[in-house]
Order: sequence, then C-alpha cells, then structure tokens
Amino acid sequence: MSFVSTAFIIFVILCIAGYYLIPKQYQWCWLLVFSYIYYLAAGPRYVIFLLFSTVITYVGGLRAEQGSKAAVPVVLLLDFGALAIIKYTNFVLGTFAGIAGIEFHELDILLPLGISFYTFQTAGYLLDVYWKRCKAEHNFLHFALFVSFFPQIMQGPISRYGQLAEQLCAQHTFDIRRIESGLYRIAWGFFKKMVIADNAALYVSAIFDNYMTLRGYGVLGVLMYSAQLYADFSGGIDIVIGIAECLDITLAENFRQPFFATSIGDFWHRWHITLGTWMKDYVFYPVSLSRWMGNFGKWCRKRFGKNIGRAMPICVGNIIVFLVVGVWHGPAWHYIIYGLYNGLIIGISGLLTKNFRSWKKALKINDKSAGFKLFQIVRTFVLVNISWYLDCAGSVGQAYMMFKDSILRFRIFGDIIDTYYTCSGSQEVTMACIVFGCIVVFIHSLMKERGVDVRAALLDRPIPVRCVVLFLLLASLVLIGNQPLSQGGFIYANF
Amino acid sequence: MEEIISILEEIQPDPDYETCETLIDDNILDSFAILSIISELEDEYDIRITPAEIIPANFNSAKAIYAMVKRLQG
Amino acid sequence: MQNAKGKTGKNFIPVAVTTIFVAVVIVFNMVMNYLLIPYSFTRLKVHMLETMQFNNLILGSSHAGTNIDATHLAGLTGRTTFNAAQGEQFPVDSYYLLKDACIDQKPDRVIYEFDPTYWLTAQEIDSSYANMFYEMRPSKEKLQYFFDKMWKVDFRTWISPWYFYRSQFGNIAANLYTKSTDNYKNYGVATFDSENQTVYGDGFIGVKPGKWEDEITVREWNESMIQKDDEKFFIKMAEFCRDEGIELVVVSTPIPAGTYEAGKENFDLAYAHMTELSEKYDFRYMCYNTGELKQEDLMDSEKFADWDGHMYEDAAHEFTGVFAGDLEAEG
Repeated sequence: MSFVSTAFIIFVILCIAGYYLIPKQYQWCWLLVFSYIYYLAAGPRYVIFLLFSTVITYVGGLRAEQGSKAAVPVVLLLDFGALAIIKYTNFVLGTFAGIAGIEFHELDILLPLGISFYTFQTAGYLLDVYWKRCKAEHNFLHFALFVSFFPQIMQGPISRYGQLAEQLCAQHTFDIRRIESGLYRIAWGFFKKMVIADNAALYVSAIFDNYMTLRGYGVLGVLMYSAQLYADFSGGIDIVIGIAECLDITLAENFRQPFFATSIGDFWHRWHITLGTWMKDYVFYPVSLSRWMGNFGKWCRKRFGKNIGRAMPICVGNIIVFLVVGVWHGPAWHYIIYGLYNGLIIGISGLLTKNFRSWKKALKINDKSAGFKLFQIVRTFVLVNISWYLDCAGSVGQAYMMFKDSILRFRIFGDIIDTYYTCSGSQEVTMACIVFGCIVVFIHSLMKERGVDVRAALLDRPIPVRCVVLFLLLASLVLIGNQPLSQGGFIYANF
Repeated sequence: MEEIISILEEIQPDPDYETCETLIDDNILDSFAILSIISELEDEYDIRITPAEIIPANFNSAKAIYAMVKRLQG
Repeated sequence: MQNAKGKTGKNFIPVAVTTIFVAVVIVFNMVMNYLLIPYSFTRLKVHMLETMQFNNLILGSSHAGTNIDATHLAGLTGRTTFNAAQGEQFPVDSYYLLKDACIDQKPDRVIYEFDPTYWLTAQEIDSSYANMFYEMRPSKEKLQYFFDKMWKVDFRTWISPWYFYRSQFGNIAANLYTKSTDNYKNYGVATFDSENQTVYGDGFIGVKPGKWEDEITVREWNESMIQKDDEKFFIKMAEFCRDEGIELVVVSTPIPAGTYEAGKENFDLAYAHMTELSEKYDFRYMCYNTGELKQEDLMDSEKFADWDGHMYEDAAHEFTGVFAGDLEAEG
C-alpha cells in the first residue's frame, strides 16, 4: 500500500477511527492487527521475515537480560545476515561471476518491505538491553507491535525501544486538536511529495537517465535531486509522524532543516537524524571505543603526537560509519564512494579543528558573524550537492562524467523533460510548480530555524484561517502536484 | 573536578562547564568531542569507558562526567 | 445533565466545522470536475450501455470500436447490437461494463475483442484510467469495480479526475457551453465528429480516409509478460458469461499484413494463448489474422488508418459483413 493510494487513506482513517472507539486497553492490540494487515497486504511471504526477526530478537532480548553473552552477537548476526543476504547476494554473485567470466542472471530476490528499518530497530533494542539502557520486553505481542508499527515500517523514522514502546502500549484519549495538528502534518507531507518531489523527479530522471545526450545539465540535475530527495523523504516522514500523531504517538523527528547546516557533520545531524544517531550509538561509539581502536590510538599518539593521535581513531570511526551508510544504500561503488566522501570530509575537518581555529584567529574571521554563517551554509550546500552526483548516478563513471560536463559544458535552459508526464503539458509550468513549492518549504524551514513552531502557531489561529490553509494544501495536490513516474513511489521505501 | 573542566576546555573551549547541564541534550558536545573527552579521561584516570556508558546522563555536565569517572575508578 | 449538555456544546463546533469543511471540499471538487472534464465519448457509451436494450454487446479496445459497425452487424444478424468498446478499455473495465449492463438486462451474446498489446501493458494512470468508472451509475457492481481498480492507485485519479485536465482552464467556457446544449443533455454524438472520424449512436467510430502515421513497433509476447490482472478479469468475464448463460465470442480483428508479418512470431503466440483459453473456458475464438478465418484482402494495408489496426469506415463495413457471416455460420 503506497501512501498515496486510496487503500492506504481508507486504511488509516479506519485505523484512527476504530482506535478511539474501542476500549482503551485494547488500543495496542488494534494497532498490532492493523500493522500486520498492512504487512500482509504487501505480500504474505514478507511476514515471514518480519516474524523471524521479531521472534529471534524477542528471545535474544530475554536471554541477554539473563546474562547470556552469546545471545546478542548470534541474534545480530542472524538479523543482519538476513538483510545482507537479501540485499547483496546478487551483487556478490555477479561480481564473482564477472571475475570468473561466467554469464550471470540476477536472482529474483525481492526486498521485504521495510526490512532495513525494522532490522535497525530490533538491533538497537537488543544492544540497549545488553547495555542495560532498557529492560527486555517480556510480552511478545507488545514487542511485535514495537517492531511492526505500520506507519514507520516503510521508511522510518528508526525508533528507539525506550522512546516508543511505552507509548504504543499506553492508553490514549481522543483529542480533536491533536487530530487536526496531525492532519496538517500529513497534508504538508503530501504537499512536499506531490508538488515538489514528483515534479522534480521528471527533471532528475530526464537528466540522470539521459546523461549521455543531455550533457551539461548536471547542476540543474543535482539541484532538482536535492529538492526531490528532501521533499520525498521528509514528506514521507511528515506523513508517518502525522499519522502517529493522530494516534497520540510521538515519533522521533528525522529532519531538522538540513539545508541550513553549516558543515557536513552538522548536515548529518539534521538529515535522516534517526539513522545518524543510530549509527552513532550502535556503530560509531562501539567501534571507536573498541580495544582495537584504543591500541590504534596509542600507536598514533606515539607517531603523530597527542592531538592527531587522539583524533585519528575518531576519524577512522567516522569513515567506517559512512562506509556502512554507503553500503546500506546499496552494494555499488558509487554508494561506497558517496559514503567515503562524507566520512572523509567529516574525519578530516575533525582532524583539522584546531588548525581551523588558529587560521580563523590569524585571518581575524569572526565565526559568529552572519556573513560567515552564510558562507558555511552555502559551502555545505555545495558539498552536499556534489555528493548527490554519486548518490543519484547509476555508477561512479556516470557521476564523474556528469560532474565534468557540469563544469565544462554547463547548461541550465533547454528542452529537458517529456511534457507528456507533466499533466500541465508545459516545462515552464512544471518548473514554476517546483520553485513555488521550494519557496513555501524554504519559508517554513526558515521559521522553524528561528524557533517558531509553525503548526502550533497555526492551531492558535481562528477556524477560518485554519480551514483555508488546509484547503489550499489539499487543492494544491491536485492543481500543481504530480504523480510518481513509477507506482509505489517513495524513494526510501526501497531501502 | 578542576582537572575535568580543564580537559573539557582544552577540547572545546566555548561552553561554561561550571554551570551548563545540557551538554548533550542541546548538542553542545558532538560525537567528536565526546570521543576526544573519553580518550583523555581514559588516559588521565586509567579507566575504561564502554559504549554502555555513553548516555546523556553521564555527559550532560562536568559534574556528571566527574561522577562517572569516580564510579569507574571504583 | 449540566455536564452532558456542556459536553454536547463543546463537541458541536468541531463537528460542524469538520462537516462544513468536508462539504466545501466535495462541492469544490465536483465543480472542478464539471468545469474541466469535457463531454466525452465515454459518457455517451456508458449511458447507452445502461439504458439501451441490445442482444449483442461488443467490448474491447478501440480496434473493436472502429472495426465493427454495430448497426450493420445488427442488420445482418437480426440482433440489436451496441458497441461499447473503446481505447484504453482493459479487461477489468470490460468486465465491469458488462456487469453494469447486466443490472437491467441480459444480452444474449458478448463479443470481446482481444488485442494482445493490451494484455502486455500495465495501464497508465491518465485521464482514461478512471473515465468509465466515473461515468458509471452507482451500484453494487460499481463498488466492486472500485475495489478492483481504484483501490490501489493514487486517490486523485478517481476522486479528482479534473487533475488530468488542469492545464485546460482555457476550455472551461467551451465545456460549459457544450454542457448547456441539448446535444449533451440527450447524449448526442454531434460533438464528437471531426475531420478524422464520424461517431455513431451505436458506439461505432467511423474512421475517415487519412494518412498512415508512426512506424510499426513490435511487442514481444511471452507468457510471463501477461499482466495478471488482465487475464484474471478476462477469465472472470468468461465465467460470468457461462454462469449467466450469455454466449461469449472473442474476436481478434484484422491488422495490416505488414504489422502481422513484422511480429508474426509474437502475434501467433498471443493468438495461440487465447485459443488455449477458449478451449479451457469453452467459448468461440475468431481470429482474423491467422488460421482458417484469415482473409488476405482484409489485411490489405490500404484498408487501415494506421499500422496498429484501425480500419477505415468502408473497410470496417466490409469486415463487419464477413464477421457477421462467420458469427452466424456456426452460432
């Protein structure tokens, strides 16, 4: 069930309505049933993977609580093993076949819906229990709900057990204001998705798919990809969080105005936040604090002195994290280099922190000034967009060629998209829709960046104002929105 | 306690470590800084800090860090 | 009592506002649909299907729409005939059009035109995706149609079909004018005539002489490419006909010899597949491009308006004559 499908809309309405009509002590059961219906609708065989992961993590958690040392590694291995087999078998076999010179037909392995996201969640839970940050869940069905909670299973946010589980099983009272607030959030998500992402997608696919013929449009392509990816992913998350809000459940935020970031590190604190913090807590810290890294740090200190010696292991830790993030996006070199690019920038700028400070002093730059901040934001935006070449292109060669063409054959204007898919029938109108959408999102982001809670402010306005805003949001979906090129449509649902 | 504050200031000079109680909650210390602090603390006090210790409650203030160090020194 | 009263008062405003808001959205949407969606042939066809009495019902793609002259067929077979076939009509649509027609009457024969290309492509989500659904009267059958076709797609497709016409605000005046005429109110055909075609009240489209367009594209046919839904609803239709005692005849109308030769292997596979189905579900399959019914002169490229297989009106008339003969020969 895609979020934009009729089925999903009706499904959600039924879920929310029933949720507040049934006795409160059964609300969590209701959610569990709906979550499994959602999953079954995607394909019964996917449920096997979900159940497998739920059962072994449940048992693993109990074992870990009883002090078993083996339980955690074994379960993690099984969880991630399943994920790895599904995601990487074709890549590995294809590579070997390529080396051996054998013809290889890709196996038909379908990625079970949301497997990445629930695997992250269950792994996080297990480590939390292991580190005694939370107690193991003894009620299997409660645990099953935590793993399968339907709004977030497609594309996150990745929730923590300690933050979500209790809410899921608590009793919730109907509150019209909360529903209204949730509706704004959902409509806002659809606005981003349909008006910006699905329109921008036309440019992205035209430019990236035809990079051999439409040469030189790389800059336009990545800018459109920036708009598409952000609007698609954060819009999807808005819908998820909005639905959860209607159910009186607060999910973790996944985005915090990422394009206002002042450094790549800062960007990753604002973009796909729950993945970033997950990686930090469950990969970065354990790796950086491992004995192996400790020894590496000591060796570095002997060789390079105290400062670099201290920073080196952290750098390596960062690079490892982003390598993992890259590989998670897909088993392909361009994703791996995409990860390395981010990891290296963060790692090296970490190494040079002290130098930066002294340079700034020497050059008399006030790093608190607005001008400097603007410089940092623009610089980060450029760096991020360079990374999109690697993220969006199908191969390193393509990314390289497009990047080169962007400089040597720079172009912006021209007939790019197939207007057949635009519904407006015009490239200019499509571009105007994208720009309009981006301006609206920019103003919204700017307000949030300044600390204004836009939705709360809206809820305090008189009823007619609120109605007009909601009406305009809904009307814009039909008037200037587009539909995804392929059915199903959210980018991060494919990970 | 004094020592801890001087370690912190050497790694990141801006915040007022005497009073600030939200070093983690307000994202004042990033992961880079935290790991630098840990590595310094491990050397200075000859303790081992495991991933399980990295929770906001242990790093939100100089006082909390001090308490953690004391505890780990046993 | 006091408490209960207070509570009702408190709930009244949100309920009222919600109701009004929803009502405004619905009305706005209806108005937009009315203003932007032009009078279409689909509206006419669905209306005729629901009101006319006929013995023969023709379903299928535009090939049947242009190649089978319903009135001529009726004259030759002595059975009243309505041609409900049109472009972008997929098996799911044909099935529900048949069910819709059967609410009030029972035709004694259904002629389904089989164009292999339809079975190989997923329907694009465009203005024709929901048009038959949109024009259909409310019924239990329409509800099933909804679950089978609208359920999985973008909600805008069927709630706000004006979505597909939003670039045509300039046509609002013309649409309003058309919709104010008697021709529209009486489901007339006058509006649809153009330099390329004449449209008849029996659902037949007569193609006027013109030029060939496009190049032949050959579609590969292989069993694994058949869209599951297409076959599923075709079989449902066959079973429905069997259960209701309606005779089902499947026909593949002639295509230009050049087109057939270019994709012979694939066409033959597709026709063989339908032959298999006809044996399995016990209906007549009449294919005019291969086998015993094939007539070279019907496949003469001079008879067609395009490589795809849309015949000129005269040729369609001729073909209908042949078809009527074959139809009655065994029947």
